[in-house]
Amino acid sequence: MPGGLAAGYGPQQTVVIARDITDAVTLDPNIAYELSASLTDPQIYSTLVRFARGNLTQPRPEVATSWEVSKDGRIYTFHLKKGVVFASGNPLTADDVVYTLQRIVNLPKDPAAWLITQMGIDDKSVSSAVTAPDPSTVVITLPKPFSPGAFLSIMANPVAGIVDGVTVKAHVANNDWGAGWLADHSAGSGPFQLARWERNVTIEMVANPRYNLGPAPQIKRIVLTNIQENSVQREMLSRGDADIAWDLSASQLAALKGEPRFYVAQTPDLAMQYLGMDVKNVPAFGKAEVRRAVKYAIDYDGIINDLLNGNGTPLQVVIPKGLFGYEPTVYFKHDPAKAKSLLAEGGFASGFTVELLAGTGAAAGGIATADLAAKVKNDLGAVGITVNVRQVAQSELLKAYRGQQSQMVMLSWFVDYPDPDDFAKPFGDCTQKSLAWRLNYCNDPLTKLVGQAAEMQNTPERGAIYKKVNDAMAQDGPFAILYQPVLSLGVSKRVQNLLFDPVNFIDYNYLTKQ
Amino acid sequence: MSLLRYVARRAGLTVFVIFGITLITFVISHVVPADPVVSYLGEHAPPALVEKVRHQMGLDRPLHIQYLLYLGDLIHGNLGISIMNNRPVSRDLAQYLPATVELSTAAMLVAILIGVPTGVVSALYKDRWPDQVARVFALGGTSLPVFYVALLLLGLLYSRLGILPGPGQLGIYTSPPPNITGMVAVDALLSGNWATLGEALQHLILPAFVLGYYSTGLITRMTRGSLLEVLRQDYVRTARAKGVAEGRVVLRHALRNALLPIVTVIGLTYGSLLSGAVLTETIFSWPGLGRYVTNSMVSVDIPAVLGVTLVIALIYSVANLAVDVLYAYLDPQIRYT
Repeated sequence: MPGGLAAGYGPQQTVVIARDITDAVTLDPNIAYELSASLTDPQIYSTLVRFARGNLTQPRPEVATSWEVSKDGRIYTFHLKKGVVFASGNPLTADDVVYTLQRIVNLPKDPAAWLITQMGIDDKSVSSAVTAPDPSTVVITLPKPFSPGAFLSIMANPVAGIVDGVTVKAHVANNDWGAGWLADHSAGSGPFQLARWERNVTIEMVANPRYNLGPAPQIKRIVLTNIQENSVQREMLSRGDADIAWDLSASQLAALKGEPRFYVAQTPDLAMQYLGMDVKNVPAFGKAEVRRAVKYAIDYDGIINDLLNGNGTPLQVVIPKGLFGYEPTVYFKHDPAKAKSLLAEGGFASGFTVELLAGTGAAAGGIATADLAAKVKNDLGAVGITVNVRQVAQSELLKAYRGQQSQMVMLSWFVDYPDPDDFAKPFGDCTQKSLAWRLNYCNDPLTKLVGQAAEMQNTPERGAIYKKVNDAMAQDGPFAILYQPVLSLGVSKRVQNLLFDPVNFIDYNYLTKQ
Repeated sequence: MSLLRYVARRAGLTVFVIFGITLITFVISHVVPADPVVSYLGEHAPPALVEKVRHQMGLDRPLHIQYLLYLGDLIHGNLGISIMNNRPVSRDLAQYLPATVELSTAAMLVAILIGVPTGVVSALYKDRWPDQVARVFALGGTSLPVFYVALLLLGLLYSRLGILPGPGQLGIYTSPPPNITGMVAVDALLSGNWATLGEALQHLILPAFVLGYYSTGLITRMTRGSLLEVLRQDYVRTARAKGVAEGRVVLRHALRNALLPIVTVIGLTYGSLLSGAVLTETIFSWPGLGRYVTNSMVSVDIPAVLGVTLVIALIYSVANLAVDVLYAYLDPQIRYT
């Protein structure tokens, strides 16, 4: 990477984001699954389609001008824009799209590959499933039926970021599909290119002068500087050394709102914090009445108002606000008396004891997991359920949970691609071997409904099915959804036109600075 | 000649120490109830992918086979591939170790330059006010939590007064010097880039002081105690009786003889600085080994943890050896056999 790529851009053209970027392990778009990479790769790589800001129900064209879907919903024909070029100057053709999809399913140890392989495209079938009949046409033939909404959402995901095949192939070593090189270099056609990534120090992007898929960005340099302590982020914001602070606590944000030089940008995250109850390992949770009792025992308002202090919003269904299929119904209000009577109905009038596994870091919305676990322990204790909280490292928690060995867990779940199927499947369909399965919860009619909705477009009929899914999950499911977190940034008023949503995050293209 | 033989024997012993350390670390890493593959792939990965990647990483083989393979690689100088970063551990170490060495060395210099004189003053003015002030200062170093001192000083000197730069090794608008040693200040010096050198040194002041403060306390206390002990000796009284100037008595006759335990403390502290700078590195965004090993442990990145453990064990061994060799120089009575 040319060392001087970032030189020459002064503070007026540079936006500095103070953030903990230690999560980044690679910036290769076809592998990366970490948030810091999600803040970077969509700016560097274009995708066939992309979600417009504020509208997560239908992606709009990006590299593709238009596309057709066969009647059975299995063959997608994408027509590509002509004249699109990579930062290298190479033209973007259908071959690059084919190469990108081949890369995803062939890369070894790829945490993101399942997004594509779940559609039935794997290293064996990819050469027949993804073809380029001419330089501006890509045909994707799905080997099995797959949700059309989910399909396009995945094509809009950063993992499907189109790489410059010619450049990447020139850097392949030991059959690694160029992953070693692309981890800290870039080969995309987005508005920015990677100037420098020094692990645990900084990720720097500079404007790509060859970008021709939209207007050139006014900000020419984006720096994500690794600041792990939020109090230090706050100080850098004050000194003007950072323009945006990413990880401020609820109380820091509240204080910031009173200062004339700063503002707080917020958007509900496509995520949720939940309690999971294992219906087999804990006999009491085997009873639907007891699961409902837990949902009535929780003081949702207390959590949102006192703990999250504005960094969370109510959510009681498995499809979060912002997605098709979201349901604003409040099924449960804090009602200890009702919870007690439900416990009695379930045959556990005198209560029971359960171990709650919780992580050690922060919960969704930036509050301490320990505080939230203490609140849950307190709320459930009030109705006679004794909760023993065990805080363990995330990797230990996941091992027990994924091995169906937990009793009760407290975790968050976030969006992979903005389609309701991305939430309905893990929460409602145990055949996916995801969240429901981990809690030993299998509900055949529910599984059927989830499968049915998956294969539909966003029509009122699909909405009606998700309403049923939401109802069934609330009344019977093993998840007590605690809240939907809100993403909040502390921003200097010098930075304007900050568009912020939970899929595209900050749109650097429109950002301006005074 | 006997010194060389001594060093050779110690180096031989180190090999056994390191073998033992790899074995213990390896076993501990594998009995912890956490799964490195799940940790790498994240929560959303389906079970089939987890098993596929477990196989690709060779983590589905029997434990003793994995250990033997690891040892085989190690003998060839190969530290393995980091699970999280997917690149050779040696490359990670080459990136993070220099930053830690730079910070720890600066911290050690701070500790010696402040600690030894303060200890001398403290001993000479025993129980009078300079001694009391020095004691309080030393007590602060050994008892105040590092993160507290760090945030306090950063808040005061950077945020409020603005006389020192914020976290990081260089400012955002400064290009890093060419990578020669990996230590920013040293590289700036070697490449003759004076402006960058100045900036790097400014960035080094606060973290070096914060990290060195704890050791400063230790060295101050040790210097004071050791010097007081020596000042009571007959030969010091003799020197004074002969009319030798007081400064010369203290520096030439007393301090040199008092240095032995101080050098021991310095050697051991340097080792612990290299491995224990996590909090300082976190607050000052210093891209060092402490941060790397913490992340590696949390994510059960076994090759990375083993690699760092090895390096730290080596550094401890070398620091101890250096202290032992220095003994002979400081005290001619000590002989190596």
